[in-house]
Amino acid sequence: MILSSIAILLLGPLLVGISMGLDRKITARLQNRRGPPLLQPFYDIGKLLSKQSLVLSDLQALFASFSLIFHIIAFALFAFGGNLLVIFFISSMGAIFLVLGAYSTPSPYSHLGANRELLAMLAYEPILFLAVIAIGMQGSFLVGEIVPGLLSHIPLILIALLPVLVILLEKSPFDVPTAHQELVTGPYVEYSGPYLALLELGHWYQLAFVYGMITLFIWGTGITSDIILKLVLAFILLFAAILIDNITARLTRKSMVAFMLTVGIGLIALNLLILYIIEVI
Amino acid sequence: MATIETAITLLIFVPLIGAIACLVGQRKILKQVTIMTAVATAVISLILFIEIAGQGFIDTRIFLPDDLGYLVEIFGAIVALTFLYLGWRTRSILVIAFSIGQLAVLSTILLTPGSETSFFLIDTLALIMVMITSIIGSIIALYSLTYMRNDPRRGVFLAVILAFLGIMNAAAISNDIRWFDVFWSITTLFSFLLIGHTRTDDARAAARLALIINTGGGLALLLGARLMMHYHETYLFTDLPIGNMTGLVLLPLAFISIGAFTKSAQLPFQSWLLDAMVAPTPVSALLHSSTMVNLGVFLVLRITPSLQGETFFSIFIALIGGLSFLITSILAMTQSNAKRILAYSTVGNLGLIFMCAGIGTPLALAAAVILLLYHAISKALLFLAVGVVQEGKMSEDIEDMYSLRRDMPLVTLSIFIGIATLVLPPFGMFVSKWLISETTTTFPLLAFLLAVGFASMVVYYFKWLGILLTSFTGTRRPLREDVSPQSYRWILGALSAGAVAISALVGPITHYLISPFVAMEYELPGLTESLSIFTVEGEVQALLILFLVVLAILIISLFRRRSRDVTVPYGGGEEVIFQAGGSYYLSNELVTKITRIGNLIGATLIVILVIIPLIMEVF
Repeated sequence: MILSSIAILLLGPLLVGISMGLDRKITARLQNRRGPPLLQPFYDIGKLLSKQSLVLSDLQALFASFSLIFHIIAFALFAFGGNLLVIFFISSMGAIFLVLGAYSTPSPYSHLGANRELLAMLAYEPILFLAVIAIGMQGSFLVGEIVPGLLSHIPLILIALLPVLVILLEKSPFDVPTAHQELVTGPYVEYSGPYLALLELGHWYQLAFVYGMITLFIWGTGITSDIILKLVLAFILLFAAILIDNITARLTRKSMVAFMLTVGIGLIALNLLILYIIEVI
Repeated sequence: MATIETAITLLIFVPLIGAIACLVGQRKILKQVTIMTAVATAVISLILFIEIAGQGFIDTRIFLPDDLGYLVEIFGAIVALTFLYLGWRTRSILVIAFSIGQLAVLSTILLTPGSETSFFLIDTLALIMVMITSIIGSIIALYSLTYMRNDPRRGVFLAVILAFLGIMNAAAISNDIRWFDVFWSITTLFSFLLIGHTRTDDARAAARLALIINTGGGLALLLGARLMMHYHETYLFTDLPIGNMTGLVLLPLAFISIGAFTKSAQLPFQSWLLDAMVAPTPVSALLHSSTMVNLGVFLVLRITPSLQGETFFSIFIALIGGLSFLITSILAMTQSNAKRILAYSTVGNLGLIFMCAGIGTPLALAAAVILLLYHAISKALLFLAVGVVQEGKMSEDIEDMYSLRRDMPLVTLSIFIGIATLVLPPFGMFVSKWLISETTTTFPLLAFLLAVGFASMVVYYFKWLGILLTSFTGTRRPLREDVSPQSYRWILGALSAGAVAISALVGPITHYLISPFVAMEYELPGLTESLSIFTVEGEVQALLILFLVVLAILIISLFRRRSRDVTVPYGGGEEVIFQAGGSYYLSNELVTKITRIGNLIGATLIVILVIIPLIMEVF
């Protein structure tokens, strides 16, 4: 049990790294390009770590490391079967320190990015929170105790998690905070070298938690089929996000928040309502 | 036992005597009197705590002579007459009507005395209230000594603040609703005086509004008391029947809850607390954190045992709280005035407490009491810090607080700790956030209110904190010395340390102080299991150590500057002259619209709250 937890803890971010490579490859193929090698994200991190550290504010480095630490703690708790609510709150702390790091620099792009990142959190956090509550309503908040059957009970919540993934992967139409054409990279703009690598790694751990939550929805009979089914489900969502990215243009801040708080929350509400009605009947 | 009785008596009378000394004494003794009273009150409350802890946190009852009852009711009538006079002075028909109503109800209460001897009840809930008032309130009194140093009417101001503490202590231990009402009304009177202290037009208007809403709430409470006698034949909270009530017997509880909503400024009654921001900062701190608004939630926590098993009625209490939390959290995002942001967040946090009380499971009640305690200290810290900024920068606007870290590192740290203890894991508030979230699985509609509310809370607090932490462009100026008076630093330092310390002690506090209250009201099996996460060895503690280390690193780096390669901000090829503006997202019209919608829903819910017992009676 502990061994498998450690395996998840180590493999999770690695898989996320590979999925980032896969993402770039698939995107390139969709655009008729060759694309970088599959392991390019790892090369990038290695390159960043070897660079000179340049900062604007002395708090930047601190907040970047805090962001990474909290994302790691969150995912570690997930790997060891902890309470989903606690994991959610700690993971959101990692996101908060990314914002604070961006705010700590006297840079207009960085500040705009931070403001938008907060708005993005306003958009995706309610969905994640409600998804966690909905999972908890099926029995337990403890990751280690979650029973199979989420997909058949709360399928709409899985669909509501897709736009969350789109925001977290910084993809159109919701790549509002980073918006590389207008804000360069928003909250990341004043980071470079090793500290950027820290933030990037933190981002991987954050995604690992969200992908992890997605994999809770499906269970195989044996351990091999279980792993394969989980990977396939995560890939389907990733592929959907890539497709959406390539066929849409960026929306405004307002429409992002409005979409998530109406359609996203609406889907979850609908799912819970159906469950309730079935229970009553 | 004798020590407890003496301590309680002193906790009520020491502040009152201090207040009288401030009022009649000469200007030069003001300082000594205030310091002595504040320190004495805080120390006595600690002695009381140690004494009760020594006895293993059992409830103490102090029986009172029956004659005292009449005296208190006559006092209540005097207060109502004062409201009548104030209603005439402020030209407010509503206040006049409410105070006449109060007098009428009071006279019928006088005619129907209760059969039991009334007593003061000191359980852990009352103890927590007394500790909050006596310690945080005293710190605020010390703070106002410095803050109001140039005010010609400082004596009156300090007298009212000190007396406020004594009356709050008395209210917190009152088990007889008649007594409770009298102290409740006196706090209304005091808050009127404090809000109107500066005597500007704004202050007068705000004080008048506070008086109108709170006398109305006082009338609701008195009606509740009278109906309580009618339906339950008692004036004592502890003698109310436990649970499974239905029909008209719920009516007194409905009126009492309405009284609580006015005092704790829930929708649609929130306007008085928001307008009260015109008062000097210590007043805001006192009203928001340690006194006034806590009375409302305290009252509802006192009657929750009776609501047990009656989910249909109590869920509306939860809905009003949840709605207040959601609406005020959204509105707080649109504000740039720090005090106003804090005011909205107070209403929101109290809303959360009402929500917990409405849900009413043991876990939810534990969450409510944790919120009450941790919110008090963090909010006091934040308000007092904003007061210091206001004095140094002559502004409360967060736009004017750019790079505050350079000018006022200690204040910045205080605000950081205040916000961290209010929002971030694993501090006290986080524990209650977690518990509340878990309890919403029994009533998922509330989870939707929480989801957006929590996210908005992150937005408005961290937007503010980010502005404070922004560094200045390119320059390497050394940190300038803090210009604020020495006493401020001690007070902010003490409150920050206190906020972190009680966060670190969340396990023992929950175990010894909060579980007894919850267990006393609900003798449910499995309670200890559901609270077992708070044992000293629990996972919260493990996380805490880690986070305290993180906090320590943060504190060190806020005050220290290491040399590192510094570069210039990216400006798309142009030179950057950084001047950030806020993002407040919603236009004024929209804010008004949201407020109106919120008030409308709130008012509807309150009407439903009164109608439910009637409908239940019919069917």
